[in-house]
Amino acid sequence: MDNRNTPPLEEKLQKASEQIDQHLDVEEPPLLYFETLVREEQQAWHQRLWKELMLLWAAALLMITGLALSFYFIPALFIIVQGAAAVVLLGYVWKEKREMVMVDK
Amino acid sequence: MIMEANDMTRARNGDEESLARLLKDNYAFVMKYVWKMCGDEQLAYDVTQDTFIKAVQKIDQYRGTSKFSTWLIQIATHTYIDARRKQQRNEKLEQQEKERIQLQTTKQLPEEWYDVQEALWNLEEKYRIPVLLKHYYGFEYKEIAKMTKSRTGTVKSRVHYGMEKLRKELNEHG
Repeated sequence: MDNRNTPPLEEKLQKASEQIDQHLDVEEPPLLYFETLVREEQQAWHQRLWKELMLLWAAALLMITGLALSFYFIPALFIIVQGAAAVVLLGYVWKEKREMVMVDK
Repeated sequence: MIMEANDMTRARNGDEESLARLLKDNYAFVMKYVWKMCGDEQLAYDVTQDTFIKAVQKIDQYRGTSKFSTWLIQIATHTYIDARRKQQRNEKLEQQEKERIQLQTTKQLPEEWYDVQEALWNLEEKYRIPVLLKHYYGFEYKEIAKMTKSRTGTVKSRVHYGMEKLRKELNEHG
């Protein structure tokens, strides 16, 4: 086979991509569709964020109440919970560091 | 270009109309990217739709350090990989459906380019996505690593092996 006139594969791939772009017929929705999408999704997203924030506050309030009660009535339990929280936090930091994507500088 | 930059600034400041315009301008680009990645028209439309929903939700996280279209490609790649993971269970049925759709959509392409695209689809996904991002779109290895959540070295070797496999397949059938 004579390879002298064959374009390199990289060039061939670029040309294929351009050709496919030209031949692909994409049904693009009207601007109104995107405006509705943005409005509805932003509303839904803000509602979800508020809901999650409320749940977080409720959970935090319950935990703080529990911890305050244990501090006065069962100090041993208070210390155990504090120790467990520190262990979980350290474990989480270690896991996140391990999963971090390494990118060359 | 200047208009896009203006729209971008307004969109990041919460202007819904500017964001909608930016999404419309990039719709065909993202759709064609996903289609070239999977060859499944319906999946490409679904992934594009999910990509745009995520873009709307995360627009405040876009820092403008890369082009808006690059940011969308990154979201689309993650969305596609997630969608494929969910599909794994119905793999067989979907393979048949995918082949049918690929045939329908691509029969209009000139044969030479169809062969290249088909060879690309025959690659395993772990090679296909980096090869496509590198040689169809010209992204840097570092950018591809970010898009595919892998290491730069892994991306380099996958592009290399992917190109070797492509070369082999195209020479065998060419």
